[in-house]
Amino acid sequence: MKGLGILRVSVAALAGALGTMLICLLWPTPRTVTLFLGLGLPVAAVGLAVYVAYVLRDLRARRAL
Amino acid sequence: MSPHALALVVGLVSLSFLFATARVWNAPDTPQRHWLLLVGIAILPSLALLLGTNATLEDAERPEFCGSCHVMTPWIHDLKDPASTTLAAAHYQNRWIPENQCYTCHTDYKIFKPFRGKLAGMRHVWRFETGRYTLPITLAEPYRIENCLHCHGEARNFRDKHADVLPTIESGDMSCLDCHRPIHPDAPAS
Repeated sequence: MKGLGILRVSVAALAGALGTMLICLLWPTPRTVTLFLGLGLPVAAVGLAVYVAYVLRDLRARRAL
Repeated sequence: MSPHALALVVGLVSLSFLFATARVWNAPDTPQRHWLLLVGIAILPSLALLLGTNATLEDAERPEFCGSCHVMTPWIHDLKDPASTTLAAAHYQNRWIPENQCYTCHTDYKIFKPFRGKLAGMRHVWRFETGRYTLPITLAEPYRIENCLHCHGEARNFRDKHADVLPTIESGDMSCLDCHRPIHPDAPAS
């Protein structure tokens, strides 16, 4: 299926971000907060942006955009 | 359920669902597949991250969190020291501020100011983690007595006792800290 690579990147980024969030919630220390807010959230934003790109590409391929 | 527990549960569900989306990657191209991907990749993780960020910022308001940076240890010890005569210890030990004592005094009470307080806190965490700070620790900017007046300003016993200096205090020409000291123990130099 076309675009699976881009979907994998998105899922990996979001899984990483959710992982840092869970670590931060289980062990809230300055280090884990920095990890989540400083690294996890930006990575999640990238993951979501990549997913949006996948959706837009899919819609264009269907000539729906 | 506390925001912390809710964020944890939604986070776990979201992560499980995210991994489950791998099963539909190669599924036939149907509307159901697209909805599952939308929920699994965009909606649930966004919700979880929103709740997680909120819970994390709430966690960061507790004195225990402030004390988890070792440079803050003397101040946290002082808060709990029964022999302490500092203003901060009196507020903490008498529970004049019931919770989040550090945050309550060290944030501002106008629109967007708590957000600025969070950003400043994040800068502190970053500086601590990267070692970019110098001792003794000092306030980044002069203490705003609006933070004291947020609780005390309209209290009758405060207004009665300070009737003679109230206009000077409210005009900003006099600080609560001019008379009410010590606030915290002196900052250690190393």
